[in-house]
Amino acid sequence: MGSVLLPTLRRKREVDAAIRDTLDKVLVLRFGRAADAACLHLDDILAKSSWDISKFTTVALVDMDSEEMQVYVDYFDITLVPATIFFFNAHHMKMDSGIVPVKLSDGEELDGPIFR
Amino acid sequence: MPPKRETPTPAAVFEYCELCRRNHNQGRRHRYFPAHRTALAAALSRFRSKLSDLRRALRHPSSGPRSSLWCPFCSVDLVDLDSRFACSNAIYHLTSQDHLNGVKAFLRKHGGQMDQVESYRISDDELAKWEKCCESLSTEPEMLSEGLIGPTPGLLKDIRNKSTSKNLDNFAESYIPYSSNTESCVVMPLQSPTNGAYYPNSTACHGSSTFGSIPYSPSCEIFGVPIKHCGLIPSHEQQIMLGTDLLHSVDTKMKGAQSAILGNEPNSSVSCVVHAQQKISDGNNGQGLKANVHTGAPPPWLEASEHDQENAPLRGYALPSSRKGKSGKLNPKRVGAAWAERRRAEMEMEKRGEPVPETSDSSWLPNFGSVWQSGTRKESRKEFEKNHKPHDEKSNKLPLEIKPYISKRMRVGSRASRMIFGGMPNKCNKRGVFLSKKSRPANSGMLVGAFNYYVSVHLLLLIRDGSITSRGNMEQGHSTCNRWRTVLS
Repeated sequence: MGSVLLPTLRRKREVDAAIRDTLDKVLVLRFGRAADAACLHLDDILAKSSWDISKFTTVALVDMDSEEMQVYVDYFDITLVPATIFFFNAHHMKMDSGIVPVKLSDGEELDGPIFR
Repeated sequence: MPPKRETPTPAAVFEYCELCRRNHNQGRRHRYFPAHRTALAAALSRFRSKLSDLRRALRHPSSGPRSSLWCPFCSVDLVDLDSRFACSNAIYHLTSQDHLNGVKAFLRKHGGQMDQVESYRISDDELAKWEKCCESLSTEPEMLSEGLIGPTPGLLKDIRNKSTSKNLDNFAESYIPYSSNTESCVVMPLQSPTNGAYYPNSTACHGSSTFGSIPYSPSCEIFGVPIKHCGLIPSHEQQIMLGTDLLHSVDTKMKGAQSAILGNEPNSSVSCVVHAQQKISDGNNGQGLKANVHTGAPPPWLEASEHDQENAPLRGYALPSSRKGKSGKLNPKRVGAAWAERRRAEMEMEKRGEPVPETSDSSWLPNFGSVWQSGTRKESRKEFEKNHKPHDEKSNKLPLEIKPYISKRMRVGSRASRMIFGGMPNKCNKRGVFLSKKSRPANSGMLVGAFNYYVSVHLLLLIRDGSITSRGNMEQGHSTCNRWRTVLS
């Protein structure tokens, strides 16, 4: 499931250890399923970018279908798949995102998100 | 040398240019003039933007209000009159051979680049996929009819208020149809915690309530199907997911991404809807009983502190986190700085094999969830600290005895009354009266006090009005006071 580069966490203690022991680095947990195409697409993108951001970010995948993971699914009230949750020093990070126009290479303009 | 014979040029035929909207006799040279090139570029970019909106409708067909599209290549107004799905006439026209011929003729006539012909039409593959989507939509159960949320021009009123007006303008010009349920589809963060309850018509919607509808956003193009068809309020995680994806796909061509998504669209939409429906039903059943991030429940990863010693051999599952060589450069005020330092010390102790004391102190615990509340993390932290302030300050009593306030007028008035009873003052200045200590009255009964008060007030008024300005006028003041005294007696 997921990418070869990104670790997949299936037990609660694994997720707990990841959150508690990732210090001074942003931890990105992707909650999703291996069967979902959107999840696979996201996993691919995360895997490709994980090396570039490895100095300040750690990325991991969480299998939502696992029974032990339901605690986290309920805690974060995850309803849409895939979902990405950010942590920093064991604190759940609230992300504000906005929409700004993004010009693509072929001249088309889209609305893209910004984070603050 | 014989002079050059200037052959008189025949009168050029005037012709009308639709782009420049003027008659000219420049012939074929006209297309190379800068004004014409500018007009051509503007017309093509306008059509391209409308076509991009049409492509969105192509990926997410929905029945909505009728829209019209003017095709500048064929000079045809495309209005869908009797079709069930919006923009169907426009889609069929853009796929037709006639339109292709018209595009080629237009570009040949006005000097456009012939290699961009394909970008001004819709391919047969896209048409086939759209027709397939339409068929699947027409056969889907009715429960999705309310949940189908099309793109809306509604404002996304939350913290992203700055860009909402621009989005509104863009959407107003678009040809994307929207369902009638989405007239007020605005997602607002909840102003108060819901205690885990799910209220579809809560403050999450601005204006009239709708079923958890989501405003359309181009970022949904990549993974828009799950959001749009699920009809749920997007969580910030979903938005983050969208953002993450869009950031990485900015460099990729839209066409490639579109074709990839189109193939996966029908299956994922249905599966996501089912999943979402199940989640909603579960959420509704557990209203008020859920302990989650919104209710401020303790995080599950901290409950693992009891099993730390058991999980010591499982330390390998911890993701490798490189420690900074120079920790002094880390911001001491960063989020979770105290936790990081303490945890680092614990890990070193574990490495050395020393028993780690159980940290039952939850003071650092960010009990405030504030995931769905608007505002920055600072505000939510201030709110948390305010609510959890220690109550020691309330037990401190005021050291001073509380005395009733005596106004200056009362104080001045008492001095003035003393002057009256005590006789003529030794001195007086222009404005005030001089009272000697000897002239203070002995008794301070209630009646005398009241009399003093009224007299003093009257005197003050006289002084203010300038009646008593010099020694000579004191007699006037005294006569007034005598009058008062006789009245009161």
